[in-house]
Amino acid sequence: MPDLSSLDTPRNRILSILLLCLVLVIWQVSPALFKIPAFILPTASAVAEGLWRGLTGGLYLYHGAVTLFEVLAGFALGGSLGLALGVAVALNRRFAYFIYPYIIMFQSMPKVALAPLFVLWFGLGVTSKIVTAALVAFFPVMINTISGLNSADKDRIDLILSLGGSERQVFTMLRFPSALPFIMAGLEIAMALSLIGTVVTEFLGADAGLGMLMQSMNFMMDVAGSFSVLIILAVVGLVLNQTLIMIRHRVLFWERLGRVDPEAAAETTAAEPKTRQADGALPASQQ
Amino acid sequence: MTLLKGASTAEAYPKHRAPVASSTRDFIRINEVGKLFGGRGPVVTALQDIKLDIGLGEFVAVVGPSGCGKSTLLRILAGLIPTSTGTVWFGNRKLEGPRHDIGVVFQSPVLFPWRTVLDNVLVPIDVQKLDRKKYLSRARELIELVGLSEFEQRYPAELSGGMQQRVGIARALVHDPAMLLMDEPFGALDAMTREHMNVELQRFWLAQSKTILFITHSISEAVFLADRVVVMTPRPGRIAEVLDIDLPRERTLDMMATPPFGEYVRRVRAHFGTAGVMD
Repeated sequence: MPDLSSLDTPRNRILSILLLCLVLVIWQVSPALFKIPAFILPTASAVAEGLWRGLTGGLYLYHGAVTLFEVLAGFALGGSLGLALGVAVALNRRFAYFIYPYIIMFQSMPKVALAPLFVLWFGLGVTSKIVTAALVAFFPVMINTISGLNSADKDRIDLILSLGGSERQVFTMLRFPSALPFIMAGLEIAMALSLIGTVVTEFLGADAGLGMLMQSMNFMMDVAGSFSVLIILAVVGLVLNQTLIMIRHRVLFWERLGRVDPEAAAETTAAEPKTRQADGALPASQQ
Repeated sequence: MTLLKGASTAEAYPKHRAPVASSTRDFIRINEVGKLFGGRGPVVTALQDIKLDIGLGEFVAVVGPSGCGKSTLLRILAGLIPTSTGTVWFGNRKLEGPRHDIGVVFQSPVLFPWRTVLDNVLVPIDVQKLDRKKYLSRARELIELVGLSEFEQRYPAELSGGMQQRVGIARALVHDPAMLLMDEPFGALDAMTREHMNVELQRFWLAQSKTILFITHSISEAVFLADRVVVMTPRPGRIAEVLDIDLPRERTLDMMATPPFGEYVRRVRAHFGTAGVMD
């Protein structure tokens, strides 16, 4: 995302809200205006009504919880396996040699194409969704872990070795922290893919979940309901993504630090050294 | 440690320091060292017949154009790569790998961005599994010595390039190494900062009595800092001349405009033909 923070003025905020209202009004009136039937494009108010019904009735909460569980379980499983295998590949050349052909083969295959098989093998319950989500989450984490561990700066490696350090110390003190930005980026991709994998597998066959709910609403021509589930899915995706971004900022705190003004440093260091982590841009630090 | 404490006042610096007598130049003996590179491709002779003795507490600068093997020489002394021929002796022990009593300052500051200034300075202590508590006060003194006390809890990204390089120097000294290897440590700095750092480095050295091997491709930097300047020429990398720099300490930047200084610079440059070769 480009940096748009300079445009975030009170006036522009009001304009932004007005724009949203305009979009909603156009949406609301166009089905009647252009004679689009409700099973193709429901009105905004119908979607809002469906959303309200689903939320208050507890229907979306239940199916949302199922989907969220599948996404998170698959993400955790695939992510940790990807991390472990990535470390193994980066550390052991022999292991890398024998495993690479399989990785490349799987890498070039569209993984969600396996979802029908997983439904067949693991049934309509949560397992088939977790396995699909884990499979799609696994690759970006593993690939990024490998390139991250290999990204360690040559001079920094030399520094540790010149002090008599071991390869193990190079790994813990340098290679792993150097890989963290890559691993975090991999996890973000993995999270988005987990959600896609879960929903697609729910489409194929499930006894619960937002994907299954949307599918059955489609069959009943309840398009307003489908739209409202889509909104729930978008919110779930947004929350998951924002959570990961928050975690990344915590873990990779050093990426957001800016050059500090010597005089400002003298004042703040003694008083409260913690503030530097909270906001990278200290006053007068960036020209 | 006492030397360190004294160093915070300018009066404590000795104004003159006798050059190390050649008879005591046996702290490090580089004996007919050669280094060949090349696996599958053609073999490259990076170093040939390097013979150099360095005395305890001596400041030796190695100057030469890119590709003359000066960085290779430093990596050999740091124990990072083996020699192809010849041996290096530290005292009466053969060099066979990294040693715990050497500090290396690289061309880039090579700091760890996730560690504070203090934790960066303590990296050698962590790597060598020494007692952090015992070295904490020494680390703080070194940070003060390089003028960064206020930045102890800051992260590298919050410092300027010159400040980062000073952290690198404090780090190289924290485990009290007998020798400092410096690989073009100020090469990435602007000219003004660089001159300032040269003056500072000379002060450290006068106060600390460390043996320093300083790699540079700046002739005037080498002449300004060193007791002896080793001139190297490329392809294959070999020593063309070793020049004793008989200028009084503490040297000042003004001295760089004097005829004797200019004469040393001229003599070194003569080895490289046109002036352009050095850059």
